[in-house]
Amino acid sequence: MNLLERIKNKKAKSVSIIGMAKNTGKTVTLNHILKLAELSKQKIALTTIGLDGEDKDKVLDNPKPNIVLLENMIIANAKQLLIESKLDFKILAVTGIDSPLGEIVIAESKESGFIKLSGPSSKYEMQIIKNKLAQYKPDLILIDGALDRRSFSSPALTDATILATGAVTAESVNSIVNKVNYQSELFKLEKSQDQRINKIISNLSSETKVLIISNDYQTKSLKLKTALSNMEEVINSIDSETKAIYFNGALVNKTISTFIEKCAFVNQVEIIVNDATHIFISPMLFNRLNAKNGKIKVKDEINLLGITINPFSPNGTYLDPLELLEKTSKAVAPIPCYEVVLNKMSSGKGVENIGFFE
Amino acid sequence: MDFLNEEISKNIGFKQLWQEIEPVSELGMRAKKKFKPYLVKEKTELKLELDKLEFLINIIKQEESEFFKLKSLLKVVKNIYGIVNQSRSKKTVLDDIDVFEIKKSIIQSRKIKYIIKTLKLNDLFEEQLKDFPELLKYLSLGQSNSESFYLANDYDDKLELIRRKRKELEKKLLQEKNDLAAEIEKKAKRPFSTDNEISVSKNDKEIIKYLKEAEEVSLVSENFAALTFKLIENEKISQLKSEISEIKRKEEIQKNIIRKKITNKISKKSLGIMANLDKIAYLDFMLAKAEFALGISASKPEINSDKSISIKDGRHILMEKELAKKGMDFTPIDLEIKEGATLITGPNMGGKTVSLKLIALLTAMAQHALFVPATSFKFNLRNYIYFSLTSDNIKTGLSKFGTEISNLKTVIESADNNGLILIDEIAHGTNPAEGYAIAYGIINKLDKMKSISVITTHYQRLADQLEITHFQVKGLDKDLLSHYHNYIKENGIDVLNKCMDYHLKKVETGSEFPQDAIQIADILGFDAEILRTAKEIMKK
Repeated sequence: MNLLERIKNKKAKSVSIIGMAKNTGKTVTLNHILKLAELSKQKIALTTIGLDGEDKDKVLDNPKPNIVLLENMIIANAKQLLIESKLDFKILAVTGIDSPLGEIVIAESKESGFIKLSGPSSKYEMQIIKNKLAQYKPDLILIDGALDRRSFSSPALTDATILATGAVTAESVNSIVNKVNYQSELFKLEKSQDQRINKIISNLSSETKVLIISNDYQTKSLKLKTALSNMEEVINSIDSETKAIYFNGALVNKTISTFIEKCAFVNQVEIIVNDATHIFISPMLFNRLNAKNGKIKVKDEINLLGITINPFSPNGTYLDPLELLEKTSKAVAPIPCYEVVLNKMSSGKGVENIGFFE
Repeated sequence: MDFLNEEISKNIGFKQLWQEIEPVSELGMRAKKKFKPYLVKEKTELKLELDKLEFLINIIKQEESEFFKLKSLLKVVKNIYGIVNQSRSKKTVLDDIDVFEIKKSIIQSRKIKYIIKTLKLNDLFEEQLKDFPELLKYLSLGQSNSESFYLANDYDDKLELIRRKRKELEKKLLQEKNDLAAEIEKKAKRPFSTDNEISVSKNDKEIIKYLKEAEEVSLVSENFAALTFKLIENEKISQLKSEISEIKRKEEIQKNIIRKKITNKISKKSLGIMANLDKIAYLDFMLAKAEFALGISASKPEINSDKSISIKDGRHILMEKELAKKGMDFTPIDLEIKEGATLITGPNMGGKTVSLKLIALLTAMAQHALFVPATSFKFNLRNYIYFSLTSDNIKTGLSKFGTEISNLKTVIESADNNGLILIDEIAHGTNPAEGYAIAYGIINKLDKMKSISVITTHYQRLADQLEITHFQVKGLDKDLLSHYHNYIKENGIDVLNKCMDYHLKKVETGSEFPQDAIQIADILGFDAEILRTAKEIMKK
């Protein structure tokens, strides 16, 4: 099953593509899916997460537009980039959402060609854009996202996610495999089985930073700037009656190591984060937490559809693509892995060709 | 002197109330920002404005659901003055997104106009919103009447020709490429990449063998795991490519010619479009004012021709909210003041300052063409509102008294210009004997000047000696006091407010002072001998 078939198979109407780092081949993956869509005559709507001010120059300096636009595609793009592309567009809507490169505009392409894309830069705005794109009834909405502490989580907004990884993330095949395997483990994290907890958390405002939930579902919001620097204060608020603790923000090593060391109730308290892209703890610490029967749960689950690998690293390394593909897919099975440049895929049982023209 | 300076506005609570007036559109916010309060010479305009607000409020009361529709329409209206202005400049050409905005604005204006008509709000405007049917038709060429905008072929025959030519060339190129690539893509079981390349794993020996022999591709790179082949462009393909880029250049030029034409058409209607924006902004702002008035049960201020202010059941909204949180009620205030000086006396915590703030707040609201929280408010327009702020001014290093005097200097200089001058605890910051004398001097002066001045003070005797209008906080209520006597004794001074009557009453010259302080001391069980002596002293 190629990536598009897999998307269809899982009935995902929206998919985010996120890279584990820069140069993991996210754009190649995106263009690959667009090619598949062209061949099967699917109508695609596309946007990307935006850039903050300092990245503006990076976009403008990048001489080459890199996304292949098909005719009749719906895109949400910054005004400046849309005009710069000189492609033929029908303007469908303006969104009132601003970006360093101008307002985000919804347009329909009337010819194919290359373009640079930049979209909204907050989760809230992306949700609005996604809803707007949906109004034009595309077969699929694609969001070019990122897995980066600075940017918001796009997987939480989409039905499914494709993860791009590659040689840039580690030195050897084995360590890349370990990394991506750990990441896919994190993506498997589930919601709490306690529906009342899930309900409490889904109703919280984004202002809530840390929330303690007790066995009888009483909640206590801690007014902390970050949980990071105030972990001891958080732990002081945990007692034998605590059922769960929700962190609105990144979960980092220090948070968890302090929790394991100082908290007497590790095995009874569920730690809940917004979604797995907010977890930045080392595998070792994750295992230590598991060994102590500690549990991490998420507010939004991520549905990982597939992993693409890029054997190239910008430092010149080129790893054995098929070895990387096979080992990765064995580690993360049954999630299929793809090497789209060599047209190979694997679901843990040997390598096969990606079906293009069936 | 400004009508109301920032600090006074904050102090009397006007700033906070003004912030609660929230137009839903960018345009409405802009209108609010540009708004200036009405001054004495604009009496007629203010009256008209208040009449319009009354008219609007009455309709809102009847047609709430229609207003909800109107508001959701207004919410998405954008501030496009900038774009309209650009269309007027000879140098700029509007881009497609700008044109889209203009088109959208025309469509929105039309919808708003329709609702205005259904709601019979036409009287709010001297002139109604304009339709631009011809311009709208022009901006919709080749794309029905939807809100989208596209430089369709219908704008220009030449554009149509160019585009047709481009499409033909593109089709040919695709065909040519297909002829060249189809067989290879089929054999290689994958399409060429965006760079016209195919990469193959060394394991795919058959494919490699085929590609190495194929004339249409050349090997461009090889490493230990894979080979990359690139499609060789034949002359026909490169010829077509250069023709396409040439025709695209022409297309862009032609598009710009059309854009110029469109910009020109828009510029001809630009004044009308801007007038529509002005009206939409005004409507949104008025709606916000009306909703605000309904939210605080406000009434329409009446403009007096004589120089006086009269308040019936006036409420200080912010204070009222604060009290409500504590489960207490705000005592509405009645008051009548006129040009010259008026004195308010009364016990500490008796609400003297609140009364002053209320006078300032209601006047400020009325002159901002708002309804006011009172059952009746009759007033005479003022050119400025001064409210004494005696908090120590650290910046200039002046003492409380010094600050007050330096502020009053400016105020007295402009006191013949129909101001509203409110002074809290006059000359409070210095020794009682001199304070009294200075207060006497200031009040005496203000009483003769062409402003409405209200002064609160502890110096009760000032009123008798100056023979000016004098209000007093009613103070401790004797009946309530005896009712709560024991309760206060047990719970202390904090519950005393239960017995306080915050109403103001007019005092005739020569009447006796209430001796609340002595009374309070008595209730709290103060030494009997001291109280006796104090009462005797007061009699003298």
